[in-house]
Amino acid sequence: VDQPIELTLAQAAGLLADRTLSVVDLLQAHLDRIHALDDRVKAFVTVLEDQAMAEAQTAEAEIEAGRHRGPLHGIPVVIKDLIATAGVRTTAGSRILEDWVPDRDATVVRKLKDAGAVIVGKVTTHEFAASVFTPPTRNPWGLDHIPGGSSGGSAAALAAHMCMGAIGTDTAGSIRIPSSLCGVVGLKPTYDVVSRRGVVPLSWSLDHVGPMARTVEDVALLLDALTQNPTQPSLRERPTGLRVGIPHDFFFDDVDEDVTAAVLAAIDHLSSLGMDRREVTLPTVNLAPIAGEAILLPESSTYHARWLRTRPQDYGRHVRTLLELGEFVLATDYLRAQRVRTAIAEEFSRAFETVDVIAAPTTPVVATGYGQRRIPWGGREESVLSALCRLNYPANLAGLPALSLPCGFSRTGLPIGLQLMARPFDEATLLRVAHAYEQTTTWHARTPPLSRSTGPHSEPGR
Amino acid sequence: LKNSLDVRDVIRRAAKMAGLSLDDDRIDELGPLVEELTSQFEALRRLDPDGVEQVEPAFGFRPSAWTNQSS
Repeated sequence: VDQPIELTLAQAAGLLADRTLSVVDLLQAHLDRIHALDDRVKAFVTVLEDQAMAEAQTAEAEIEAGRHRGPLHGIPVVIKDLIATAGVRTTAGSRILEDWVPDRDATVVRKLKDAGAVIVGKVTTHEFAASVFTPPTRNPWGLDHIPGGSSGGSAAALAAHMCMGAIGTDTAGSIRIPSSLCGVVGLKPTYDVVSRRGVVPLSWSLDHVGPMARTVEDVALLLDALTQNPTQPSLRERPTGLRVGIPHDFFFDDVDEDVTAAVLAAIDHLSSLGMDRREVTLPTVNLAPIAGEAILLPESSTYHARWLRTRPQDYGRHVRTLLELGEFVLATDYLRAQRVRTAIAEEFSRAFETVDVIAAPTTPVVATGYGQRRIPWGGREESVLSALCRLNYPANLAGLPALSLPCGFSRTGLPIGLQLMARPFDEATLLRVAHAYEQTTTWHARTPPLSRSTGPHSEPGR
Repeated sequence: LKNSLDVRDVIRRAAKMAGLSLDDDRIDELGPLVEELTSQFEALRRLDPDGVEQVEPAFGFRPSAWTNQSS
């Protein structure tokens, strides 16, 4: 195999299983890639070179001995740095935890290791996952642009082909936002379908853990290793006869015209695959961002209460301000937000009586410039943080599975994400529809200019 | 100005009661933000009941709410 880093996870899994590809060679190709690019992409907090090589050698020996554990055996993956890794520093992107070395793995890490995955390293998160910029990481599609966040390191490492799979977390879009901005696939599963044990919380009732990769099939393989209900077989089924819902209110308000055009074209494409399209109405969903803030702020302030009182100077200014703000949210506003949450969940429930998935943009804009903090919408401005989270909050509030996958590029050459949402516990349908879209389009196969021009593997992608 | 001063005083007192150490610079920064946030939260009152109809708070994801409704 000449270019192992250009393989999908599923392709590599097949080659590893039949021993056409060596686990050690696959890892080495990714380590070479990291050495060549990460001084510019800055996705890694820690590269576990020696540990990963030892894991790769073990995996190779097991496969050669006929003890193949499954599709993740020998696959190089990365872990967001607020997910505990035994014996490996886990900083949550913060000074508060800069020296924390957990004594046990988070459940998701343990499950990946049980499946035989090779942990290549820990990747950046915005400080305590509390925003969307993820410094110092850069977007492989444009190094002067943000990768999104808070799982920015996971998405950037995937887009730059420095790993084959990643784990992220999502409280208000932190898996889907960077997936959209970096042109990869990210799934926020149904609430608590993937364990949160060992993951530093941001907001207990909104936090989700999920897989990210470069294709839908790869995401399904990762998800199946993290849960008990296999979704991968459903990918073989065509989506003919399924119904896609289009929520024209809210999800298409204040959205960049390139993004709107790409998402509507993607919905047309789903129709061409035999899906029936229907309008859906979600009258209260426009309150989701406000309700989300009223819940996220006090929940995160509660988790951080001790450090906020003993080490306030060790927080970045923006995160400290958010956490202090959470101390002043009225209990009555928190409760009103929880009632809005009930109303939104009920509206989604009614919508899913008539459709199987709901399609919308993941983010209203493509990746913004590094340092940009405001977005102009006609006569008003919106913060980048608010804009990127706005269309993601509804699925976090309702606990729905939601996925972002590439559906086009802006005129400036930056990726656009299509967001698909489904009924709780129906990840199989979500992945089935997304896979059918992906199989009949080529957006996911494009490679960032960075990948084409740099490093030991300079040939274009597939 | 008066409102802003009032908010700062409320924040100072609330922070003291909560054991949160905020100097004047922090209070000056937080004051307008607390006002803005509280103003945004007014929108959440839209669901306040006119009569006996109540929307109960969710307190998070409730699988039973979905499994009971889906056939």
